Amino acid sequence: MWHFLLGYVILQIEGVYPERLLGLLRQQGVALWDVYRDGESLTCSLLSRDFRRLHALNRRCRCRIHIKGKRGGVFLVRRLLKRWVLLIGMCLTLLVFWWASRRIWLLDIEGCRQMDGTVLRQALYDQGLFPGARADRLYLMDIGSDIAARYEELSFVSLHVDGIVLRVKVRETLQPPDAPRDLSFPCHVIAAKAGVITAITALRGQAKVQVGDKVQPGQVLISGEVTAYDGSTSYRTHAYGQVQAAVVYQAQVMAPKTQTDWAYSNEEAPFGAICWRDKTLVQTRSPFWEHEQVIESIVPLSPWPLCIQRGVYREKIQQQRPLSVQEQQQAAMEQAQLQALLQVPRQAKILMLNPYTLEKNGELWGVCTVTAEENIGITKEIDQ
Amino acid sequence: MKHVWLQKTLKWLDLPEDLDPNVPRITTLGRDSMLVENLKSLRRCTQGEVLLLTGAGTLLVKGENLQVKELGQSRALITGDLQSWGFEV
Repeated sequence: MWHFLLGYVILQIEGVYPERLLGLLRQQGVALWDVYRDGESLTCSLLSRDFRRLHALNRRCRCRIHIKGKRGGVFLVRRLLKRWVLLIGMCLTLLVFWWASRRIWLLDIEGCRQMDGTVLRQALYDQGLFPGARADRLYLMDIGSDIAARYEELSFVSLHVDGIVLRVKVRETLQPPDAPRDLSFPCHVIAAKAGVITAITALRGQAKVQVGDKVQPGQVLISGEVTAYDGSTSYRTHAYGQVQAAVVYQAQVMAPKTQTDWAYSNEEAPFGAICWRDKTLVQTRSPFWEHEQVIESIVPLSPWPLCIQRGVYREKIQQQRPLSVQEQQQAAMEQAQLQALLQVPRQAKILMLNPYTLEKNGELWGVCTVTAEENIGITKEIDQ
Repeated sequence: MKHVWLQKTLKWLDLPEDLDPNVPRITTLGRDSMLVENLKSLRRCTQGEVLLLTGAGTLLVKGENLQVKELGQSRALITGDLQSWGFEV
């Protein structure tokens, strides 16, 4: 293979004593191969770079040398160099291959059964993982964690680039199976919270409220004591069903009068650093707890990519700033909204969000009411 | 004289004798190929015989369709249908 890559010449040597020429070549350190007698002449092969030495040595041996053939990469390239269009095409093809091989072109998703694959593809697309994206510029581990955190259906997302294929391995969140309902004891379904009924489905037992009814905590929603229409017979059962109600959550927060901001004290300290390109090698220490670096001058140390930076450290301190009325209202409403939303259970569906401000005893308050729809039914055993 | 001293030294040091460039090392692989190391020069090469000069004398290899597949500074690989080989007296 090396002979082919470097290029070699097949020679036919004619003369009285061609072996002598081979001996001289050997002494000069020239490697020969495929030496055989072909009638009166001797045929051998040698590297093209050793061919010039052959002429100098041949003067002593007086042999006639014919080139039978030229083989190898060097001669092939020389021939190809004349066909420049083909050469440019080859170079362009190689360039395209090199360019394309560093990118993601195919997406292989594994383990996505319950979740819609289109949603996952869109999530990957939003994170910059689309056909043609550079894989080496993306932090795949972070992207995987981010997607897994964003969708509840996913517990783990692993991303791995295999050539031009992005392999996405997904582990979906498994829901625990519902515990078998114990129907052996009679019970009611009562309201856990106050609210307005939006939907009720009694699967067992007798519904005692209707859609639109206002209920209080502890009120029976589905009764476990079932009576016949004519009142002739009655029996007790384990009532259960779905009761959805609109529940109001409210939070009140007093408006803050001041806000803590970072400000500059008038303290300064000298700053100096030696940098190699953009990287700081050494720098002076700041005497302040919090500071800002202000570079005033950069002295380059050519011809090296070194430079000396000079400037000051400016101290930063926390200061209380009085808020305007509008800022107080805004801050109060934001805090109240946050407090109200924290009360809403995770499974609840938010129907309405209403933040506002009010004045109470000369103080400004932020109030937020959140109306959420949730299942308020809980079971309560019937006393014997 | 130098050759004798070298041989004695190699024996005394328990080293292989083919480290001496005057001692040829001949390896045959089946009937197809023969590797001769510590070679001095190639004297003759025909399809029927190959004559090699070694430190131990002239080595004559006989056979059919003989070919020196590789001829380096101190080694030669002979291929073909080998029939016999020996040192010329």
